[in-house]
Amino acid sequence: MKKNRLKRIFKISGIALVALFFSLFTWANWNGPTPAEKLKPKNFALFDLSSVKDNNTFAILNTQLQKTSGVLATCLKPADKIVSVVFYPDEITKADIQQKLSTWTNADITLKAIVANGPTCPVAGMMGGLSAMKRFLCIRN
Amino acid sequence: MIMASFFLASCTKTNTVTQPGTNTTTTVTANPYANTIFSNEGMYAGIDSLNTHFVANVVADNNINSIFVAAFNGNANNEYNFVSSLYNFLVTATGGPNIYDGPGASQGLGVSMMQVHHGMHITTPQFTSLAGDLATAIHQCKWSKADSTGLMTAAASLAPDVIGQ
Repeated sequence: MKKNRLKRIFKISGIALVALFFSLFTWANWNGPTPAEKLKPKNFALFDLSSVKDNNTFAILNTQLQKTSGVLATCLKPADKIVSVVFYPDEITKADIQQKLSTWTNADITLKAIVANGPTCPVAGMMGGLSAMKRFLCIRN
Repeated sequence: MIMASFFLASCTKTNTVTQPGTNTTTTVTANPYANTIFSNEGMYAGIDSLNTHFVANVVADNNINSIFVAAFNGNANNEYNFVSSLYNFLVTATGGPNIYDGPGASQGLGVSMMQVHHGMHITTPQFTSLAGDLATAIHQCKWSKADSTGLMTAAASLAPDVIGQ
């Protein structure tokens, strides 16, 4: 009796999970990928260069970064001692870039922490994991 | 091959035009975005390049990068969302397809900008700083003066919807 009840619960849960998966799959593929979703994903990072003492290093650093495979754009601010890098995460990682920067400058380069000092833009966070799930389930790419 | 031809044919809108008083028939491929900044500057690829430089400039801009702190928490998906949102915005703002799908998107870019920035108290120097980052990106991508002015004018027109909300 108890075994049958357990079996029934498993069966209903299984059907519910399959239905949920097909609903999400249909939703992800209904309109196809947006132009943004067709692009190769890009990530970015901001590095703190305050440990770099020699100002002449900055010009060389920018040239080296732009030559690096997977790096798409950089913005170096010698006055603020920071550099931002936009890159393809499947070609190079933040850790790789950080290591290269440390090697080129012969200094300990870290990621720059950004702290909110007022209301912030919610857009990046509000889409949350939904966009990632849609990209994962969409087979129309 | 036949299927592929049908597929390709269905993707391109063509109009057949017969010149009045002659027997000449011309087939014209309709480009709904002709003469827009989007079309002039390389369509999706051109906007992608602009957006990549724009993101790099915004991230390194100490006047405004703290506003986008949600994208800086090390979550790769949030970084992706940030880059995609700016891309969708630029495609729409340059006269391309209306693919901006942020909050209030169905009510048009102006209304959605007001909704998105409500309660953020964006100041004029912050807006000017962001516009400066966009201008630098346009310069880096070597856009024509007319298109540069066009996009900067479109961006400036959003100031009342963004500043002081």
